[in-house]
Amino acid sequence: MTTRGQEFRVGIKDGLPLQLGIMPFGVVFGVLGVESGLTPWQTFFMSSLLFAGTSQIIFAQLIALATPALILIGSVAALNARHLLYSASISSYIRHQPLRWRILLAYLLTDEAYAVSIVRYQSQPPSAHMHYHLLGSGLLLWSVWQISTLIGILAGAAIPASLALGFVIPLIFMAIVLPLIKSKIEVACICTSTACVFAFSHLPYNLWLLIAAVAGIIAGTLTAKWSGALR
Amino acid sequence: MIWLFIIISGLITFSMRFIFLTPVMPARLSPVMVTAMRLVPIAVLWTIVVAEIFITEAQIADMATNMRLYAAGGAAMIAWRTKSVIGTIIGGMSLYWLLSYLFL
Repeated sequence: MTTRGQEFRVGIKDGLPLQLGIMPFGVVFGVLGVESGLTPWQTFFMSSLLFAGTSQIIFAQLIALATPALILIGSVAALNARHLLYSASISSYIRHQPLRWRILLAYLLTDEAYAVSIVRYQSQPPSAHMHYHLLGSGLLLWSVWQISTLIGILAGAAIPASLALGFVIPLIFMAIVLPLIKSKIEVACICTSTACVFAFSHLPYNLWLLIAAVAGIIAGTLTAKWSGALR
Repeated sequence: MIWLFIIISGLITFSMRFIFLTPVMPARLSPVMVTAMRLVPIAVLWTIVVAEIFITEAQIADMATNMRLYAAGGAAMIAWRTKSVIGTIIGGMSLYWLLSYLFL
């Protein structure tokens, strides 16, 4: 049986290597948040109120493009729908905890904290204190995210616009997406999305964003269905 | 107004993280939903990538002077081979600055 402290420390230790990727991402968000027209306070508090890296960047970018509220919030919601998966997947390990614990752990349930803690839950024997593992990995990420956002906000003013730092966004997204492409399901998804961007880029209100994303998801899901990958 | 958007987005995000930790939800999703949700980040992020590289002010950018396109091509190779976010940023930005300096 592991103790609370042991689980907490292992959670932090398991999450440490991932912070190498979180840190620059947070700095980039801090810089771009202010550059896109958000105030420094809005940029800073978005990191704790929203606490979801990619959707914070999308949020800032759509604000810069003067996107209507419904599409803005719809895009953030769609992008974060994957958290339903994490919630469902980790539920059996923590759903018996008291409400205040479940609220705290849900708040801390980011891609990286989930990835680190689900490995512990699935590969190690269960323990009465194993929710402390997710608390450790989640709090570590939360702290690094707040600090790196702050660094980005403070450093942003010193970075000249001619460096075209906005180009960092598609680069980050490529580095996230390309390694996930493993079968014709994902290929169908991104090819359909690409075609839709070209076909619908002239539509108002950035509607192409939702159309291309939804079309890609449908194409990928249908490909999975027809190839018998859905069970 | 922006504060309100941030708070609403935050509440939606929290709800999605919390909902399966409540007893009202079944602990499992259908296979179709699992596949669709796994594809959501791929589709959304890729759509942004394509738009950022090819579209400027609702127009498809001129291929010959679009240094983002060529830099992104190089960065895609790095992303694919190394899976490193930092490596992709450094490689892609260096390539972009170099190409812009040489050809624009």
